[in-house]
Amino acid sequence: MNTPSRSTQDPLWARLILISLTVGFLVFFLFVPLASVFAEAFRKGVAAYFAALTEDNARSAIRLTLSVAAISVPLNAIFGVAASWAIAKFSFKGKSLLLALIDLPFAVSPVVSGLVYVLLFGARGLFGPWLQEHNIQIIFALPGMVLATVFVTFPFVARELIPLMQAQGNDQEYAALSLGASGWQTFRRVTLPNIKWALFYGVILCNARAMGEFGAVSVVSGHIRGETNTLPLHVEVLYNEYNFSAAFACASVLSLLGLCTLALKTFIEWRAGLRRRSH
Amino acid sequence: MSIRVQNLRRTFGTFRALRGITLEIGDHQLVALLGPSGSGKTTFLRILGGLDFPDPGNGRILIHDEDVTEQPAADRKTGFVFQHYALFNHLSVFENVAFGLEVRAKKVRPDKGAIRDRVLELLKLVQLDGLEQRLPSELSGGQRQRVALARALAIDPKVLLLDEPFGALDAKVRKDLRRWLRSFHQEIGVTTVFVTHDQQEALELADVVVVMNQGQIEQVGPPQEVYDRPATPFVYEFLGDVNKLRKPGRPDLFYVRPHEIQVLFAGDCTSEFHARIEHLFAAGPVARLTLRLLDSRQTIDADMTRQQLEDMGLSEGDEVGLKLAVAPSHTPARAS
Repeated sequence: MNTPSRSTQDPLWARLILISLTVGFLVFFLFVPLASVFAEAFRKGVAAYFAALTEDNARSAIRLTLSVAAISVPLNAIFGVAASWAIAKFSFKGKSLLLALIDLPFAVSPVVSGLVYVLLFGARGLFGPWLQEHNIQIIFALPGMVLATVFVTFPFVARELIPLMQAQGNDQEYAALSLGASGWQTFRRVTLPNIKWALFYGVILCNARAMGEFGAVSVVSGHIRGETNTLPLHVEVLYNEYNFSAAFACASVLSLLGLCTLALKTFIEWRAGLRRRSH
Repeated sequence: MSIRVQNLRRTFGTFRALRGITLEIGDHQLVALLGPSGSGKTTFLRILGGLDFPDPGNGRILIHDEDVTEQPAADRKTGFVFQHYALFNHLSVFENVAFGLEVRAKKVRPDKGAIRDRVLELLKLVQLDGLEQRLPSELSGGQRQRVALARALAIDPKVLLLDEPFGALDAKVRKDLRRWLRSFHQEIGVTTVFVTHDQQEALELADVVVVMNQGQIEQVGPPQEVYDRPATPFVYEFLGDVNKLRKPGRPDLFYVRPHEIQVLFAGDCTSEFHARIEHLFAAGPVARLTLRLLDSRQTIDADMTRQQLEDMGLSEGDEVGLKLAVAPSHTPARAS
């Protein structure tokens, strides 16, 4: 049995206070706001809710959000695996600097992350004139938004993988090589299966952030309705126009995404836990 | 010659892990690389397996008379068994052993049936038949070790390289597995090199012991030879217990092993030394005496049989005479 002994048990009143504090906090700061999003979204009825989501600008915002995520998440999955591989499996000069750089997007404000790209690729930016000459649009267009999103969400996959790959060491890879496997076979048959749950976990977190990102994308998007508004930006526009029920309808989609991510995350942790216990 | 290594050097930053290793290993031999940690034995083994490489232009490695110095691990066909086995955790025992065959290019890959036959045959050889569907996590340490061995043998390796093969096992399993590996090697006949820091293991198991220290080879020879005729002070001190003694009236130190000291009654006129018994340890067939020499105040160890001890009726605090049972070694001892 797992019952703690009397001496290690806190007094009843302490437990009651701690539990009610936690539950109260969760209710007021997480559950009530989340519920109010859905309540507000359905205030004008189900028909209005779906109308708000299927309206042209909303559909374009959803499409754009999905495209941005569809490009940046795979990119970051690849970058993340490459970076963690380099950091966990090789030793080279400047490794700790690289490690710090990976965390940079977590450290700087998303607004700054967006501004960086405006300064580089904007009309008056470093590469601006050259880009204009060649008729390439980056800022206020999809490429800029993808760049900003990739920047902001870069650490998610790498952060999940580095500690795991460091803990696993290189022996299994070396074993595969000495058995005659090529580098690619080693990666696909040995490394990838060993990191797949952590990778999946990193990818869904990365995806959640990519779809929900506001600050960095807001700076580079230019807020052109029906063209460069992602779903979070679209919510803001609707809200500023006092179109509350539509704003909340779109917000509810983002909230659902969050809940799905949470469910997936729990599922993965459960699966990974099962595996760990069997080892 | 199975393996021929010439003047191998390996440097990590400023640390010289291998300082010119030259060694020849004959066919079908079971060779122990013996040395303390940091002596370069594992680095040497990894270089033999192509998992690490000598400093550019420093050394040549020939396996079966083929120069493999530049060859990566994947082309070298050396079976490498890692200290912690490095089994593929997500694959079954069967899939682990089949790995080396499955990754072959289509042209040279055996068909499914042939792979199956080979894997089952290997598992039988390492006495793990019936466990092919298990995951590595469902096996004991000794069983994992044998899966790693079967996996390495699946590629028909030219040589088998084992890194501390018994390092992660408890004493009882170690002993069983040691005995098993000895007979296993006789059965398969593949030239095998294993790394160990345990002198007992090296002496008991190997045909040839290579004693390494500080990136160099100190001595190569059959176990009895390196034990009885150590070539350097290091080998003397590393293999077995040893006393350093100074003969009365002579300045030089020499080595003598505890069993080479004969214990006599105090009045015996053939005594070369006189000593007092400080401590007596008599569990097991051999009694170990800790003695303090009366003239130099030095402490030394001597072994005698329990029978002798009882016959002489010795106990702690008694004075005894000592005689060297063998001629002192010609190896000058290192002053400590």
